[in-house]
Amino acid sequence: MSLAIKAEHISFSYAKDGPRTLDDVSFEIKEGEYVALIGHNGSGKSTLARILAGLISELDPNASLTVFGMEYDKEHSAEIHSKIGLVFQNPDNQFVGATVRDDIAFGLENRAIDPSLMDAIILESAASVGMEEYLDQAPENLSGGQKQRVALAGVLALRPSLLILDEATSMLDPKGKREILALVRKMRKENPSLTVLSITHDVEEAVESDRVLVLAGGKLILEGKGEEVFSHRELLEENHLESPFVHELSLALREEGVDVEPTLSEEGLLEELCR
Amino acid sequence: MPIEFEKVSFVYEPKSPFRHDALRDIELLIEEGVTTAIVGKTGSGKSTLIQHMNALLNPTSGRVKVGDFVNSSVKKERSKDLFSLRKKVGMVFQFPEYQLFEDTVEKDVAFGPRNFGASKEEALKMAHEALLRVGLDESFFTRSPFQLSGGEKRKAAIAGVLATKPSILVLDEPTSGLDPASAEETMLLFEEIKKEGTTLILVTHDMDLVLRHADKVVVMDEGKVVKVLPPEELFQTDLSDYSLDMPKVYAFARKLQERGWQLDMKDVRDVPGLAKAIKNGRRAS
Repeated sequence: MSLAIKAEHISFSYAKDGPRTLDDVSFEIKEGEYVALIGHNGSGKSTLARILAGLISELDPNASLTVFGMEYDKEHSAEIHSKIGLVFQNPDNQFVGATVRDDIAFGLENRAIDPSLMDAIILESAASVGMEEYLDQAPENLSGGQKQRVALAGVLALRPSLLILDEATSMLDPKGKREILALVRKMRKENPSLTVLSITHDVEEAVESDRVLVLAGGKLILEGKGEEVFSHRELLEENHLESPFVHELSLALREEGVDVEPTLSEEGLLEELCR
Repeated sequence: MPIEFEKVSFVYEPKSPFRHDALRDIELLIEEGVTTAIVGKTGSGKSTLIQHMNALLNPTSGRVKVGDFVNSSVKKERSKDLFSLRKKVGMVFQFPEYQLFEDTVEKDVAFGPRNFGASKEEALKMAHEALLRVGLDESFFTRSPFQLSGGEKRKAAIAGVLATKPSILVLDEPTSGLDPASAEETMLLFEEIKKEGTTLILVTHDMDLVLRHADKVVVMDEGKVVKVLPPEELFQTDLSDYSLDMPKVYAFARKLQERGWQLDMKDVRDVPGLAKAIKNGRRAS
């Protein structure tokens, strides 16, 4: 399978000779994969997202970054950007239109999409996030969750191959969170080649992903499937991270002398306890 | 200092087609020293309620008493001294880091004390104290707030509210967007501040936080206060009417109970507590 992202020796400092926000980070993400990137506050997660989005381009000379097989340089950056969709944390900061329709149209206009096709694309992407009834609403009449769905619709309208979610659910209430995650799941089902990189604090979301990357102090300290990554509980704790609830509970039960296996599966733990 | 709501209603844009009744006939006493959580789905009136506590909003009808400060629908009844009210009632709004604006961290934190009349030197001293308190050492004082990481920004913003030494602290989703350890650290800080005599009011969707930190929970729905009770009682009832989540420990316990387990949840507030309850629990055979 071909690679969506191949990052090698990515290092970056905001100030010249300042501390390294990212320190020799290398990883690969395959096309169609759903990868969760977790890390403590200040671990470099958002900086990595900015680099992938092309908002930061001055990388260390040893660094190499290719996206969909293209070197991330001046020559290819426009084409790479056309394949990436970004949704950020704050629903208010990324709503640029006067109405939902305008907001979704913004990206399409930027890409000079044929205006005669636009209405249909806008309607389709609004419908795919359940916001087709709100096309003429202004942002102040929408909840945070609805605004994030519009942000997602705006990104979807451009048919990205790589979707980067930078803590896209962290300002939402539990219902809003669930809706966004369900939408991402639906999008991947409809388009299995869509690659998703989700930067998140939500370890319960990370469990659902295909693979988890863990950043700490600018370094990639763990990578693998959820079960593998969350088995390194002490290392995660040292780096301000926690294990998913079910895993913590299975370990706490063992400490109490209850005979269960460490697990990430709620169903598995319930079955074991009811055997 | 207690806060008392007496028949408070609030209407947004009363004379327009967008009229919205955000609060309806609120009768509520928030006691001093009792950590009170205010919960309810988005749009239930939580934010409107807390904005009455430091007179950012005046009631459309009724009266709010904060200590001896009166925030009333009747202009003549309203206390004038907004400065001292806002000094007493500190608000940490959601994602406060988006409100940092000065060019150095210390100036940003000193803004509050300056605003409430402290001299430049006094205000800086108070700012430094508050910054050390939240765990930002001297090396942060003269840095730009915009060079800090998300977690550090949050701490700086909290320091800005603590610098004025409020006696009531209203926290709107204080831990969202923080990594688990920083969230824990932040709540420990607030617990310490509580021990020194500050009353905490917590507005949140995070029921794990409510279970661990609140003494009392106020449930809001469609602008009304529908329940006031301790968290362990709230989570024994059906919460789906108010679209509240269960804390994770209760959600798991409920699944065990559905499969015939008997668990004593009285003292369960976290994962180790649930593990103990399961160890001491029984399965009906």
